Amino acid sequence: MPFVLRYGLSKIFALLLCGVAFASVCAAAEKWEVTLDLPPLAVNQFYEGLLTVADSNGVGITGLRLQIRGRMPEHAHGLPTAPQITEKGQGRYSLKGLSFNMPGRWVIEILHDGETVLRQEYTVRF
Amino acid sequence: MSRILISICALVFVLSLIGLPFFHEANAENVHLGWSEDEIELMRRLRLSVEAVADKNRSNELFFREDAVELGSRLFNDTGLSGSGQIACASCHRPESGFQDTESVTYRLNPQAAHRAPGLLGVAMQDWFFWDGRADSLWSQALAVIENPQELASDRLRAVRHVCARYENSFPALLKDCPEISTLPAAPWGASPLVDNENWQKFTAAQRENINKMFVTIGKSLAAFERGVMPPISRFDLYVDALVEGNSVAAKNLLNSKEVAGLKLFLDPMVGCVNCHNGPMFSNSGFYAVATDSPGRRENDRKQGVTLLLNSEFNCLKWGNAEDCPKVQYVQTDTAETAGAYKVPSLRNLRHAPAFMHDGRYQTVEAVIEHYRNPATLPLRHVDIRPAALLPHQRGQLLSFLKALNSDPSN
Ligand code: HEC
Ligand code: HEC
Repeated sequence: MPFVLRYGLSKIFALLLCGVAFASVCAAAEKWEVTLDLPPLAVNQFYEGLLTVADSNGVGITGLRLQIRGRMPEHAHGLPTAPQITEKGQGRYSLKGLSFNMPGRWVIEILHDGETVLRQEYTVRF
Repeated sequence: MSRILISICALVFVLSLIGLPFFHEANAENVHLGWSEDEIELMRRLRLSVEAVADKNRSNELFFREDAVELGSRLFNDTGLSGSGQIACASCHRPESGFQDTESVTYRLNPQAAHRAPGLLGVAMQDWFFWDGRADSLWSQALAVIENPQELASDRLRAVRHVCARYENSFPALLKDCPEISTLPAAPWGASPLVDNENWQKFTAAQRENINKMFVTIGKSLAAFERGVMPPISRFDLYVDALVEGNSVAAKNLLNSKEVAGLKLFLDPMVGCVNCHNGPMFSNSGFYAVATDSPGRRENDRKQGVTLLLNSEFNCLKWGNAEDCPKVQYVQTDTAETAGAYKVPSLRNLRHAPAFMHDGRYQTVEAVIEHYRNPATLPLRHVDIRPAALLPHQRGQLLSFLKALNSDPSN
């Protein structure tokens, strides 16, 4: 299940196809190393974070259009702000405008092409 | 014999080991009346404090100026700011009643008004203004009122001319641009891009800029006055102080057992109130859908507020530096989050409020609590709350806790 969530169903499907299909499909299915660096989180502050995306050889992937999504598993709502992700070069992306106003468990997802490439859980404190 | 002694000794020793943690626990409970460290920390964050007020009003350079406070206080009571010459801010925000609209002037002027007038105690601590948050600063909020046809129903040219005529001599430093205003062509009409655009366009760009600058000074002076509109300390605040000091005798005299039980419910994650009603004003500055919208009617919710905010010529992005306004720059525009959502109001001094929720749909706090127990949710509608499982006696406890947030010590 975590594997499915992390790479998305289509990528897994592409991985299965690798043996018989084109190299480009395989490239898309390659394992990405995605990291998101955030400080300890509390309510009612603005946070910036650094996102990195690299291929399995550790080479940064550029030109991605990444999006962020956040939600509280125990509640119906998502993030109170609309954070923006901008490219910094060499597979580095900066995340700005992240904020929370409800304490508790939050799930933050980074998406590429509508597929989750990173999913992390945080506890936001008062 | 000695064997018996040894085994008794061992028994006592083992018992004391088992008993030790219990003993300590009981001791701690004595000092903190059963509250955990985490709960006390949480309560400290609910204690009244005006620390954040300077930071929240950074875009107002007049905020701490004494002459601005004085001018603002006169303007707040000045009916000359209204188009009719009949009403002032204080008509709808009664200073003697927590700045609430106890006479329902809002609805008398406009029976269809979408929002009731909130009280203003502690308003300078807020991030957003109006129930839909369409203003991002206290000073720009005031400007919207002056030009709102349903409120003061004036326009910026009229307001600026009035203020210069009446106050220039008393506040020469603050109103140093009045001479420029007096050179404008004399005309009986008003002008504003919002309510009188045809006249507004008769002025040159430089003249319009001067008028706007003076108009902003009016808003910033009113905001400087509102800085002093703060709720006094409540019994709850004193209770928190007593807990922090470990003074359980004082604490017990401040809140009775029913109020403490209500406080426990309020902080209980399963009840959830504190998720939204937190911080010194009991509001997390957010916008949430709590099943108070009226589907089918025009919503006047956060969704609409965001559009109005981004269009406002006085929002922080258009009238300031982008770096200073992350809350506008990164404002949530996703309608899945904003539809049916309203600003989380303060819970301090509810006793002054003539009605509750953005549209004043409830007349009593009991009715609000009943709403949380059984929110009228409709299928396919996004709501941020779940029914709070509260027994009748618990609803009473919650109510008595909310009363302990009133500043009047006898309450
Ligand atoms: C006709 C009645 C009326 C008058 C006069 C009036 N207000 Fe209000 N005020 C309201 C109403 C109604 C609201 C809520 C409107 C909304 O949310 O859309 C409000 C909201 C506010 C708020 C925002 C409070 C919050 O919690 O978001 C402030 C601040 C405020 N008024 C200050 C003023 C000032 C300053 C003046 C004079 C320049 C003034 N008001 C004149 C009715 C009035
Ligand atoms: C998901 C966030 C959220 C939670 C949880 C929540 N509230 Fe609220 N509360 C709001 C919002 C938003 C409003 C304003 C709704 C409106 O104006 O239509 C409000 C309004 C109120 C009001 C009316 C205040 C006024 O001046 O009109 C009271 C009283 C209140 N809440 C008490 C509580 C209590 C008690 C609880 C716990 C049982 C609670 N709230 C839980 C968000 C929340």
